[in-house]
Amino acid sequence: MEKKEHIISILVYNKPDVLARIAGTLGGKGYNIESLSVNTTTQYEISKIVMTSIGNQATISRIENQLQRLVDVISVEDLTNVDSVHREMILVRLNMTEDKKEQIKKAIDDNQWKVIKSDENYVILEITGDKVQIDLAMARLEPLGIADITRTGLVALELKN
Amino acid sequence: MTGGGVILGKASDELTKLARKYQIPVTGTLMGLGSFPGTDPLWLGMLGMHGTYHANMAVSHCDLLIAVGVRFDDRVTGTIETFAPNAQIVQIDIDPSSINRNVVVELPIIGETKATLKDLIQFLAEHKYVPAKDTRQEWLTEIEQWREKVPLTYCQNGEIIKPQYVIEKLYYVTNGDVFVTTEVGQNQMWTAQFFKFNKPNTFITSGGLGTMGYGLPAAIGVKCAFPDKQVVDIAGDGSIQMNIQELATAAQYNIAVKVVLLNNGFLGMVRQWQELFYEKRYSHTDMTYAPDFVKLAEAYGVVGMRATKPAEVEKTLREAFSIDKPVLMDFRVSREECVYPIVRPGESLSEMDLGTREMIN
Amino acid sequence: MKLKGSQILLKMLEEEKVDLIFGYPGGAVLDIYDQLYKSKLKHILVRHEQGAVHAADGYARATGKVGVCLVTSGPGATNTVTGIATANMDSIPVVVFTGQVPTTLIGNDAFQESDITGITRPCTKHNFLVRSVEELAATIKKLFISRDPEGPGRCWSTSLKMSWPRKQNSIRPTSKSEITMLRINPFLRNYRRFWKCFFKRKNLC
Repeated sequence: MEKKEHIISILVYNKPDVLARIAGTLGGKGYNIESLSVNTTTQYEISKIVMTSIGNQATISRIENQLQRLVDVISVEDLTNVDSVHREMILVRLNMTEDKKEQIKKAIDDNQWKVIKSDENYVILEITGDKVQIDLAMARLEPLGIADITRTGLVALELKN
Repeated sequence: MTGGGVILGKASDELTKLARKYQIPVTGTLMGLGSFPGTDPLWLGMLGMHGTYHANMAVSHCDLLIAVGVRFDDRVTGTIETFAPNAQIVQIDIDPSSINRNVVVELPIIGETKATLKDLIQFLAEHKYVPAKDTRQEWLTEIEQWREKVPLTYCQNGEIIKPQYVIEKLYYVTNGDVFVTTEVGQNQMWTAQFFKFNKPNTFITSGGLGTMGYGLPAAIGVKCAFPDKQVVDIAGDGSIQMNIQELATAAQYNIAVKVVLLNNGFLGMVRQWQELFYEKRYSHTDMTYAPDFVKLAEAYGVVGMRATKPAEVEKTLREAFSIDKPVLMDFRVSREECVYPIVRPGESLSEMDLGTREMIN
Repeated sequence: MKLKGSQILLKMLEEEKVDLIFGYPGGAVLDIYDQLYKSKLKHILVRHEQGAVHAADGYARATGKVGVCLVTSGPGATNTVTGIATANMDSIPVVVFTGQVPTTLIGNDAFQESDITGITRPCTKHNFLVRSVEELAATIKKLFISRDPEGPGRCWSTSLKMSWPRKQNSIRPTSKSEITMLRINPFLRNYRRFWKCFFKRKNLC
């Protein structure tokens, strides 16, 4: 069975210990969390955690089983093979040095990247997209000289209810 | 194949009914002992690393394995690839994370053991299932031949007490009507091999974690729950020292537990592995330097007794059980006895090391 | 009449028909031991906290009921870890109540403080840190939930850290007896439907 990145969406009770327990359970069993995002849902008492992990189907089933045993976990779903929308976001600062200025301006126009803040010295961009789009943006940003970057974890939503 | 899940799920009656009705031989993990009567002719004994020869052979040669309330721990399976190679496996367990974790099974059933077995019995009855008499008899005969070829045995000649002899005597003296807790190591394995458990919830042992020092406080807990029943902790000299202070608890409340101390002056199981796999280089397992356990027991305010010869064993046990006080019995046993059979790490269940010829009859 | 946390604890244990606990006193649980002194609840004084948990474990295995123990904070709590891990590995329902330092001192490396919630997270089914008296009764209730009179109870052993004005007590649960009350007919229901019922039941807790 081949390994690939799986997206797991977990509904949990919004309690202080929950994230620590999930991370501990997976870490303790040797499963790596590649990316993670967590926030409350429309009900404050319930949070949603979206995480990604690399493994084959058997490994991912084991992860799901381990998570489902936890008391504060409400539901666990593997969204990898389900029709869903994925998004990640990056905030990136590029320094507007003499040699790169024009390149950066051209790249922003060509890619239609959103400029959050800019002055003569630097520019901060916000780029949203799925993993492929973000990876592509990263590749295009690389030659422009990334001064600083923050990347969120993946969020995902099933297409139908 | 029965495990801890049958006892926790209170499914012992259903399992017994199913096995007896369709003449299915039953083996058990350490945690499953007592879920099927140990005196029943269908009982094969424990399987696994120190399981009986015929139980391991039966599992290795069967074509259908119904595993109830087990998680296929490494102590039970031997090498996973060679476990029950010819068998279709049905696994019934409440915990989805125990299914298909170590051993991939053909039919996983997630549910309570009690309810599932009840439904299974009903299902088989509705479909009027009858096992084919001749093939079933052939199978049972084959298993019986394995049992006769390599029975569980030891050699109690001479003047040194064999630990297995103490356990068999214990069963004989108590008629098996006793709660047994154990420590961990050789004492635990010999108990599992030589003591027949007929009822669930009577064999109390740290199976999963294997915690030395578990037996004495656990025996105290059991005796508190059942003050009118006899409760025995079968211990080794290493394990008993880990929570020996609980003798004071027993003395304070007169919790009349009986400690059967199989004292060989070694950290027994570790020494056995050093004998088998490290050419007898006994690195830090010699525990000759130990307290006089009888004096120590008395210092704690419990009764201390000692037996050094086989002839004294039964007498000591009977005397201990006649006193309504906590008792520690120091049985000085053979120092370098090994638990056999043993499935060595990396081997399959059918490739057991059976010990020397002295062991086998 | 407003009850103190220690009184609530003993009252809840009485309601859950706990008739015996194993324990070892200490500074952080003095209030509880004071209530115990006046209570009918039987308490066995052990000589090491590990012994208390093993005794509760043996009690649980022999009877099928939940074994309960009470220990103090800091080293008293950490001494229970082996016992908790033992019970957890074999899925035995045991509840461990551990004391804790006053709420205001948590995280200050106070005398006999330990992050027992963190330490036992991997070897318990669940644990709680109870920070207020108001939460106490409901949290203790969760520990002993039993639904179906016929089948095995659903034992969520949970750990609580109780806190009331001056003191905190942490109640630690161990084992993972997640035996649900659902009666599954394996030949009729499929896997997915089972899970929907399972989680629905979980939500009801």
